Amino acid sequence: MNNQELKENLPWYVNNTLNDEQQAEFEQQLSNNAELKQEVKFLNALRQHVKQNISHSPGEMGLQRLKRQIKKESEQNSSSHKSITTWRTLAIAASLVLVVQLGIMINFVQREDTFVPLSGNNYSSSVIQVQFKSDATESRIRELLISIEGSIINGPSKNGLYRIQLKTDDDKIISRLRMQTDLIDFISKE
Amino acid sequence: MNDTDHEQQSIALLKEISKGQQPALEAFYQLYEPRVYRYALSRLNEPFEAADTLNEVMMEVWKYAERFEGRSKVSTWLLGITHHKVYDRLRKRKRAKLEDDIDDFSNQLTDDNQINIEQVLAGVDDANMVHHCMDKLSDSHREVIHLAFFEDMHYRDIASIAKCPEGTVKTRVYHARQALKNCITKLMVAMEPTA
Repeated sequence: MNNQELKENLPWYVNNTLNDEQQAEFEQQLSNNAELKQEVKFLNALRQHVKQNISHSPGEMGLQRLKRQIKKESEQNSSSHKSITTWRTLAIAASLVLVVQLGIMINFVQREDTFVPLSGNNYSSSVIQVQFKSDATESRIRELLISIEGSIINGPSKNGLYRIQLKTDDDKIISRLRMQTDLIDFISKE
Repeated sequence: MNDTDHEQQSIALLKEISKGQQPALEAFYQLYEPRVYRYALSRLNEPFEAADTLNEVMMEVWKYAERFEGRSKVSTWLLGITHHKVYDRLRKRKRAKLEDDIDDFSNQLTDDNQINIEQVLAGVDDANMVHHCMDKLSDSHREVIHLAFFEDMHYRDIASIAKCPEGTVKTRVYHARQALKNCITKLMVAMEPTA
């Protein structure tokens, strides 16, 4: 150890925490190093003061305080446990209500799927808007609807527009309808 | 009771505490209360806060005794918990937030040229002077002096408690010594009769 290392390690020599070999090395160095000796004297005096600086610790009062706190926390935990149990019961009840409600809704939706509109079974496949000629007869319109497997689902509007549900989404049908200029004024796919 | 017996007894108490045995906590408290309190006081410089810290540390032991894994001595583990509790308090006081800066500042106060070893050795016998100068140290310097000279701990254990490298412990103790010498020298000069 150089002089600086010796100085840095002196406190551990003074508090006797070095191993025997290190302790012996210090003993040897100290025998012929006046500066180190002064440092040891200073550190020993300092250590003595630190140890003698006896401040009264809380002792029994501190222990009583600790026991009171343990008791208090234990009671709080118990109360908290009861509270948690109550809330857990309420939460389970609320969950059950939600499950029942969800069941009813699912049942309702499923039943809704089985509804068949008067205008047809599947009205989401393709819907067209059609305006017939003012002189178009009911028999010709019926004949046309049968040929394209269409059903009137709405109309006529104020402008004379009908919404017609087609069974299939087939552009060929629309093209064919557009050819019917003697019967149809306007046709558009929604 | 020798150190080994003391350690074995402490470990046995911790096992009992982890099972919820309050009498074991009371025995553990009796064994370690003065050391925890004095360590907290050495850093906080405030008896009420040190007492609060002692209570917090013992509550921590009560709740988490099973966390002691035997990788260090019980006292090192316990003072490590105390270190954290104290640090939290110091942080709340906004004193410890720039620990490194404080160290640097303390280091600036330790000009070896201002130290007169003859005056230091004369002054170090005066308990009031030493205590006055100890109070002037930064928290981290007071901490290492307390652990080195009150607890008589090896720097390895101090490093474990203070959560810093061993080299830092040595440096801190060195600078703390120099700061104390500097303070004592100044007081001695101030007390010298004027011509």
